[in-house]
Amino acid sequence: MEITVSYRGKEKKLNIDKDKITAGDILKALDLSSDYAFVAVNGEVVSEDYIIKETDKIKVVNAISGG
Amino acid sequence: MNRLKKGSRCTICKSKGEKNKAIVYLPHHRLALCKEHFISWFEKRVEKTIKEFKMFSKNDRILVAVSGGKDSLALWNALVRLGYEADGFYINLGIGQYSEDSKQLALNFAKRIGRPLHILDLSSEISTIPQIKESTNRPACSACGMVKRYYMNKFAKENGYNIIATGHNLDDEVAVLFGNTLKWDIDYLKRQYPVLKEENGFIRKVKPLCKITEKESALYSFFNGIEYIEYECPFSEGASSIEYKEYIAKLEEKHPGTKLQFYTNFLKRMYPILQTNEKLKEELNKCKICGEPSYNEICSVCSLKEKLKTARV
Repeated sequence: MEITVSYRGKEKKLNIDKDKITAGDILKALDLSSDYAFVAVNGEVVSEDYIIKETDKIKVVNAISGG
Repeated sequence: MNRLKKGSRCTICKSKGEKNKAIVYLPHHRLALCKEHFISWFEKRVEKTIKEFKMFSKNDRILVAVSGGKDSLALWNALVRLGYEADGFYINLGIGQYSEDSKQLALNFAKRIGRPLHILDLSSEISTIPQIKESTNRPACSACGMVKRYYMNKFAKENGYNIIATGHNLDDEVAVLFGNTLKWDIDYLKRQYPVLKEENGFIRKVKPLCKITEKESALYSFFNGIEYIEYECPFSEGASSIEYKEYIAKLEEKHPGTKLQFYTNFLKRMYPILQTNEKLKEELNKCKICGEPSYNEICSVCSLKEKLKTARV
Protein backbone atom coordinates (compact mmCIF):
# COMPACT_ATOMS: atom_id res chain seq x y z
CA MET A 1 0.00 0.00 0.00
CA GLU A 2 1.29 3.45 -0.89
CA ILE A 3 0.67 6.37 1.44
CA THR A 4 1.73 10.02 1.41
CA VAL A 5 2.98 11.67 4.55
CA SER A 6 4.12 15.17 5.35
CA TYR A 7 7.66 14.96 6.71
CA ARG A 8 10.16 17.74 7.48
CA GLY A 9 8.04 20.24 5.53
CA LYS A 10 7.79 18.06 2.38
CA GLU A 11 5.42 15.43 0.99
CA LYS A 12 6.91 11.94 1.03
CA LYS A 13 5.52 8.75 -0.53
CA LEU A 14 5.95 5.49 1.38
CA ASN A 15 5.40 1.97 0.11
CA ILE A 16 4.53 -0.36 2.95
CA ASP A 17 3.82 -3.98 2.14
CA LYS A 18 0.79 -4.42 4.41
CA ASP A 19 -2.98 -4.16 4.12
CA LYS A 20 -3.42 -2.50 7.48
CA ILE A 21 -0.80 0.12 8.20
CA THR A 22 -0.31 1.46 11.71
CA ALA A 23 1.32 4.73 12.80
CA GLY A 24 4.16 2.58 14.18
CA ASP A 25 4.69 1.05 10.69
CA ILE A 26 5.16 4.57 9.31
CA LEU A 27 7.84 5.37 11.90
CA LYS A 28 9.54 2.08 11.09
CA ALA A 29 9.43 2.77 7.33
CA LEU A 30 11.16 6.09 7.93
CA ASP A 31 13.64 4.44 10.31
CA LEU A 32 12.54 6.64 13.21
CA SER A 33 12.35 5.80 16.90
CA SER A 34 9.31 6.67 18.99
CA ASP A 35 11.80 8.10 21.48
CA TYR A 36 12.10 11.18 19.28
CA ALA A 37 9.36 10.96 16.65
CA PHE A 38 5.57 10.85 16.52
CA VAL A 39 2.71 10.66 14.04
CA ALA A 40 -0.23 13.07 13.84
CA VAL A 41 -3.35 12.17 11.90
CA ASN A 42 -5.78 14.92 10.88
CA GLY A 43 -4.08 17.29 13.32
CA GLU A 44 -4.16 14.93 16.34
CA VAL A 45 -1.26 12.93 17.80
CA VAL A 46 -2.02 9.19 17.57
CA SER A 47 -0.66 6.11 19.35
CA GLU A 48 1.57 3.71 17.42
CA ASP A 49 -1.17 1.10 17.16
CA TYR A 50 -3.53 3.50 15.34
CA ILE A 51 -4.62 2.00 11.99
CA ILE A 52 -4.32 4.45 9.10
CA LYS A 53 -7.45 5.12 7.01
CA GLU A 54 -7.33 6.02 3.33
CA THR A 55 -8.62 9.54 3.88
CA ASP A 56 -6.25 10.34 6.78
CA LYS A 57 -3.94 13.36 6.51
CA ILE A 58 -0.68 12.15 8.00
CA LYS A 59 2.15 14.21 9.43
CA VAL A 60 5.32 12.71 10.86
CA VAL A 61 7.33 14.80 13.29
CA ASN A 62 10.98 13.94 13.84
CA ALA A 63 12.13 15.97 16.82
CA ILE A 64 15.87 15.33 16.38
CA SER A 65 17.82 18.35 15.32
CA GLY A 66 21.48 19.15 15.11
CA GLY A 67 21.31 21.93 17.75
CA MET B 1 4.61 -0.19 29.06
CA ASN B 2 6.99 1.80 26.84
CA ARG B 3 4.43 3.01 24.35
CA LEU B 4 0.99 4.53 24.49
CA LYS B 5 -1.74 1.93 24.01
CA LYS B 6 -5.01 2.75 22.29
CA GLY B 7 -7.64 3.66 24.87
CA SER B 8 -5.16 4.68 27.66
CA ARG B 9 -6.51 7.32 30.02
CA CYS B 10 -4.72 10.47 31.20
CA THR B 11 -3.01 9.78 34.56
CA ILE B 12 -3.90 13.22 35.97
CA CYS B 13 -7.51 13.14 34.74
CA LYS B 14 -7.88 9.66 36.26
CA SER B 15 -6.70 10.93 39.66
CA LYS B 16 -9.42 13.60 39.48
CA GLY B 17 -12.10 11.09 38.59
CA GLU B 18 -12.26 12.23 34.95
CA LYS B 19 -11.85 9.97 31.96
CA ASN B 20 -9.97 11.92 29.26
CA LYS B 21 -8.01 9.92 26.69
CA ALA B 22 -4.22 10.11 26.93
CA ILE B 23 -2.43 11.06 23.71
CA VAL B 24 1.13 11.22 25.03
CA TYR B 25 3.08 8.68 27.05
CA LEU B 26 6.29 9.69 28.81
CA PRO B 27 7.98 6.38 29.68
CA HIS B 28 10.76 7.96 31.80
CA HIS B 29 8.14 9.63 34.00
CA ARG B 30 5.57 6.81 33.68
CA LEU B 31 2.95 9.38 32.75
CA ALA B 32 0.14 9.10 30.21
CA LEU B 33 -1.30 12.56 29.53
CA CYS B 34 -4.05 14.30 27.59
CA LYS B 35 -3.19 17.43 25.58
CA GLU B 36 -4.17 19.94 28.32
CA HIS B 37 -2.30 18.11 31.07
CA PHE B 38 0.76 17.66 28.87
CA ILE B 39 0.92 21.42 28.27
CA SER B 40 0.59 22.21 31.99
CA TRP B 41 3.09 19.44 32.89
CA PHE B 42 5.61 20.93 30.43
CA GLU B 43 5.25 24.47 31.77
CA LYS B 44 5.47 23.31 35.40
CA ARG B 45 8.64 21.37 34.59
CA VAL B 46 10.21 24.45 32.97
CA GLU B 47 9.24 26.58 36.00
CA LYS B 48 10.65 23.96 38.38
CA THR B 49 13.95 23.87 36.44
CA ILE B 50 14.19 27.69 36.53
CA LYS B 51 13.76 27.59 40.32
CA GLU B 52 15.99 24.53 40.93
CA PHE B 53 18.96 26.20 39.25
CA LYS B 54 18.03 29.73 40.39
CA MET B 55 18.10 30.86 36.76
CA PHE B 56 16.11 34.11 37.02
CA SER B 57 13.06 35.75 38.55
CA LYS B 58 10.12 37.83 37.36
CA ASN B 59 12.23 40.99 37.90
CA ASP B 60 14.80 40.02 35.27
CA ARG B 61 14.85 41.10 31.63
CA ILE B 62 15.29 37.97 29.55
CA LEU B 63 16.51 37.76 25.98
CA VAL B 64 15.52 34.47 24.32
CA ALA B 65 17.88 33.31 21.58
CA VAL B 66 15.39 32.49 18.82
CA SER B 67 16.37 30.37 15.83
CA GLY B 68 12.88 29.70 14.44
CA GLY B 69 13.18 26.07 15.57
CA LYS B 70 10.82 24.23 17.91
CA ASP B 71 12.94 24.54 21.06
CA SER B 72 13.52 28.29 21.08
CA LEU B 73 9.91 29.05 20.16
CA ALA B 74 8.56 26.55 22.73
CA LEU B 75 10.81 28.15 25.36
CA TRP B 76 9.72 31.68 24.46
CA ASN B 77 6.06 30.62 24.56
CA ALA B 78 6.43 28.89 27.94
CA LEU B 79 8.32 31.83 29.51
CA VAL B 80 5.70 34.34 28.41
CA ARG B 81 2.87 32.09 29.62
CA LEU B 82 4.65 31.69 32.97
CA GLY B 83 4.68 35.50 33.31
CA TYR B 84 8.36 36.28 32.61
CA GLU B 85 9.49 39.38 30.73
CA ALA B 86 11.04 37.66 27.73
CA ASP B 87 11.86 39.18 24.33
CA GLY B 88 13.34 37.43 21.31
CA PHE B 89 16.66 37.82 19.55
CA TYR B 90 17.18 36.38 16.07
CA ILE B 91 20.49 36.35 14.23
CA ASN B 92 20.18 36.23 10.45
CA LEU B 93 23.05 33.90 9.58
CA GLY B 94 22.63 34.38 5.83
CA ILE B 95 22.21 30.67 5.11
CA GLY B 96 20.04 31.11 1.99
CA GLN B 97 16.43 29.90 2.09
CA TYR B 98 16.95 28.29 5.51
CA SER B 99 17.62 31.68 7.09
CA GLU B 100 14.80 33.35 5.16
CA ASP B 101 12.25 30.73 6.27
CA SER B 102 13.37 30.60 9.89
CA LYS B 103 13.38 34.41 10.18
CA GLN B 104 9.82 34.61 8.84
CA LEU B 105 8.64 31.93 11.30
CA ALA B 106 10.30 33.77 14.19
CA LEU B 107 8.65 37.04 13.11
CA ASN B 108 5.22 35.38 12.79
CA PHE B 109 5.57 33.91 16.27
CA ALA B 110 6.67 37.22 17.82
CA LYS B 111 3.58 38.86 16.33
CA ARG B 112 1.38 36.07 17.68
CA ILE B 113 2.60 36.42 21.27
CA GLY B 114 2.91 40.22 21.06
CA ARG B 115 6.56 40.45 22.16
CA PRO B 116 9.43 42.25 20.41
CA LEU B 117 11.86 40.27 18.27
CA HIS B 118 15.23 41.93 17.74
CA ILE B 119 17.00 40.97 14.52
CA LEU B 120 20.71 41.20 13.89
CA ASP B 121 22.09 40.70 10.40
CA LEU B 122 25.38 38.84 10.53
CA SER B 123 26.33 40.09 7.04
CA SER B 124 26.47 43.69 8.28
CA GLU B 125 28.45 42.76 11.43
CA ILE B 126 31.04 40.32 10.10
CA SER B 127 30.02 38.05 7.21
CA THR B 128 27.43 35.36 6.48
CA ILE B 129 28.11 31.83 7.71
CA PRO B 130 28.62 30.44 4.16
CA GLN B 131 31.16 33.25 3.48
CA ILE B 132 32.99 32.57 6.77
CA LYS B 133 33.12 28.86 5.97
CA GLU B 134 34.49 29.50 2.50
CA SER B 135 37.09 32.09 3.50
CA THR B 136 38.45 30.42 6.63
CA ASN B 137 38.00 26.67 6.11
CA ARG B 138 36.60 26.61 9.61
CA PRO B 139 33.69 24.12 10.09
CA ALA B 140 30.45 26.08 9.67
CA CYS B 141 28.88 24.85 12.96
CA SER B 142 31.84 25.86 15.12
CA ALA B 143 32.09 29.35 13.54
CA CYS B 144 28.31 29.72 13.81
CA GLY B 145 28.22 28.83 17.52
CA MET B 146 31.08 31.19 18.26
CA VAL B 147 29.64 34.24 16.49
CA LYS B 148 26.16 33.60 17.88
CA ARG B 149 27.49 33.52 21.46
CA TYR B 150 29.49 36.71 20.87
CA TYR B 151 26.67 38.79 19.34
CA MET B 152 24.06 37.49 21.76
CA ASN B 153 26.16 38.59 24.72
CA LYS B 154 27.04 41.95 23.17
CA PHE B 155 23.47 42.73 22.13
CA ALA B 156 22.01 41.77 25.52
CA LYS B 157 24.47 44.03 27.36
CA GLU B 158 23.92 46.98 25.05
CA ASN B 159 20.14 46.70 25.31
CA GLY B 160 19.67 46.24 29.05
CA TYR B 161 18.93 42.51 29.22
CA ASN B 162 20.51 40.67 32.13
CA ILE B 163 19.66 37.08 31.13
CA ILE B 164 20.16 35.15 27.90
CA ALA B 165 17.94 32.06 27.64
CA THR B 166 18.63 29.40 25.03
CA GLY B 167 16.45 26.48 23.96
CA HIS B 168 19.00 23.70 24.55
CA ASN B 169 17.02 20.62 25.55
CA LEU B 170 17.88 17.42 27.43
CA ASP B 171 18.85 15.59 24.22
CA ASP B 172 21.19 18.43 23.21
CA GLU B 173 22.83 18.43 26.63
CA VAL B 174 23.12 14.63 26.73
CA ALA B 175 24.64 14.50 23.22
CA VAL B 176 27.23 17.16 24.17
CA LEU B 177 27.97 15.46 27.49
CA PHE B 178 28.36 12.12 25.71
CA GLY B 179 30.75 13.63 23.12
CA ASN B 180 32.81 15.43 25.75
CA THR B 181 32.98 12.30 27.89
CA LEU B 182 34.13 10.17 24.95
CA LYS B 183 36.99 12.66 24.51
CA TRP B 184 37.39 13.33 28.26
CA ASP B 185 37.36 16.98 27.31
CA ILE B 186 37.69 18.42 30.82
CA ASP B 187 37.65 22.06 29.67
CA TYR B 188 34.21 21.61 28.16
CA LEU B 189 32.91 19.26 30.86
CA LYS B 190 33.65 21.73 33.65
CA ARG B 191 31.55 24.37 31.86
CA GLN B 192 28.55 22.16 31.12
CA TYR B 193 25.95 23.50 33.51
CA PRO B 194 22.46 24.90 32.79
CA VAL B 195 23.49 28.26 34.28
CA LEU B 196 26.61 30.14 33.29
CA LYS B 197 26.96 32.94 35.80
CA GLU B 198 27.42 36.55 34.79
CA GLU B 199 31.09 37.52 35.17
CA ASN B 200 33.81 39.56 33.49
CA GLY B 201 31.60 41.01 30.78
CA PHE B 202 29.51 37.88 30.22
CA ILE B 203 25.76 38.03 30.76
CA ARG B 204 24.17 35.15 32.70
CA LYS B 205 23.21 32.36 30.29
CA VAL B 206 20.55 29.78 31.14
CA LYS B 207 18.97 26.67 29.63
CA PRO B 208 15.47 26.27 31.08
CA LEU B 209 14.65 23.29 28.79
CA CYS B 210 17.60 21.21 30.01
CA LYS B 211 15.24 18.64 31.55
CA ILE B 212 12.81 18.60 28.61
CA THR B 213 13.40 16.05 25.86
CA GLU B 214 13.45 16.98 22.21
CA LYS B 215 10.21 15.05 21.65
CA GLU B 216 8.48 16.82 24.54
CA SER B 217 9.51 20.14 23.06
CA ALA B 218 8.16 19.14 19.61
CA LEU B 219 4.89 17.92 21.19
CA TYR B 220 4.50 21.18 23.15
CA SER B 221 5.00 23.19 19.94
CA PHE B 222 2.59 20.95 18.05
CA PHE B 223 -0.16 21.19 20.69
CA ASN B 224 0.21 24.96 20.86
CA GLY B 225 0.04 25.31 17.08
CA ILE B 226 3.52 26.85 16.95
CA GLU B 227 4.86 26.84 13.40
CA TYR B 228 8.60 26.25 13.38
CA ILE B 229 11.27 25.41 10.84
CA GLU B 230 10.93 21.67 10.29
CA TYR B 231 13.89 21.03 8.05
CA GLU B 232 17.49 21.00 9.16
CA CYS B 233 20.10 23.66 8.57
CA PRO B 234 21.99 22.51 5.42
CA PHE B 235 25.27 22.68 7.37
CA SER B 236 24.12 20.30 10.10
CA GLU B 237 24.00 17.30 7.76
CA GLY B 238 26.13 14.50 9.18
CA ALA B 239 26.62 16.38 12.48
CA SER B 240 28.01 14.11 15.19
CA SER B 241 25.38 15.40 17.64
CA ILE B 242 22.62 13.85 15.48
CA GLU B 243 24.51 10.55 15.35
CA TYR B 244 24.95 10.55 19.14
CA LYS B 245 21.27 11.31 19.62
CA GLU B 246 20.31 8.30 17.51
CA TYR B 247 22.59 5.95 19.47
CA ILE B 248 21.32 7.28 22.78
CA ALA B 249 17.68 6.95 21.62
CA LYS B 250 18.26 3.21 21.17
CA LEU B 251 19.45 2.96 24.78
CA GLU B 252 16.55 5.10 25.98
CA GLU B 253 14.01 2.92 24.19
CA LYS B 254 15.27 -0.14 26.05
CA HIS B 255 15.94 1.62 29.34
CA PRO B 256 13.68 4.65 29.77
CA GLY B 257 15.24 7.31 31.98
CA THR B 258 18.84 6.71 30.85
CA LYS B 259 19.24 10.19 29.33
CA LEU B 260 17.84 12.06 32.29
CA GLN B 261 19.93 10.02 34.71
CA PHE B 262 23.15 10.47 32.71
CA TYR B 263 22.68 14.24 32.68
CA THR B 264 21.30 14.91 36.17
CA ASN B 265 23.83 12.61 37.85
CA PHE B 266 26.63 14.39 35.99
CA LEU B 267 25.36 17.69 37.40
CA LYS B 268 25.00 16.27 40.91
CA ARG B 269 28.10 14.09 41.15
CA MET B 270 30.71 15.00 38.56
CA TYR B 271 30.28 18.72 37.95
CA PRO B 272 31.10 19.70 41.59
CA ILE B 273 34.31 17.61 41.49
CA LEU B 274 35.45 19.36 38.30
CA GLN B 275 34.95 22.77 39.94
CA THR B 276 37.37 21.99 42.78
CA ASN B 277 40.35 21.55 40.48
CA GLU B 278 42.27 24.84 40.74
CA LYS B 279 44.45 23.99 37.76
CA LEU B 280 41.38 24.17 35.57
CA LYS B 281 40.68 27.82 36.29
CA GLU B 282 41.53 30.17 33.45
CA GLU B 283 42.18 33.89 33.46
CA LEU B 284 39.61 35.95 31.56
CA ASN B 285 40.81 39.15 29.85
CA LYS B 286 39.29 41.84 27.68
CA CYS B 287 39.79 41.71 23.92
CA LYS B 288 42.28 44.39 22.85
CA ILE B 289 40.14 45.28 19.85
CA CYS B 290 36.47 45.19 20.89
CA GLY B 291 36.70 45.04 24.70
CA GLU B 292 34.49 41.94 24.95
CA PRO B 293 35.57 39.16 27.36
CA SER B 294 38.20 36.81 25.98
CA TYR B 295 40.68 34.19 27.18
CA ASN B 296 43.23 35.53 24.68
CA GLU B 297 44.51 39.03 23.91
CA ILE B 298 42.23 39.17 20.89
CA CYS B 299 38.82 37.46 21.06
CA SER B 300 37.88 34.75 18.58
CA VAL B 301 35.40 36.95 16.67
CA CYS B 302 37.95 39.75 16.16
CA SER B 303 40.59 37.27 15.05
CA LEU B 304 38.02 35.76 12.68
CA LYS B 305 37.37 39.26 11.29
CA GLU B 306 41.13 39.65 10.73
CA LYS B 307 41.29 36.32 8.90
CA LEU B 308 38.34 37.32 6.72
CA LYS B 309 40.09 40.60 5.84
CA THR B 310 43.25 38.73 4.83
CA ALA B 311 41.23 36.22 2.82
CA ARG B 312 39.55 39.06 0.89
CA VAL B 313 42.88 40.76 -0.01
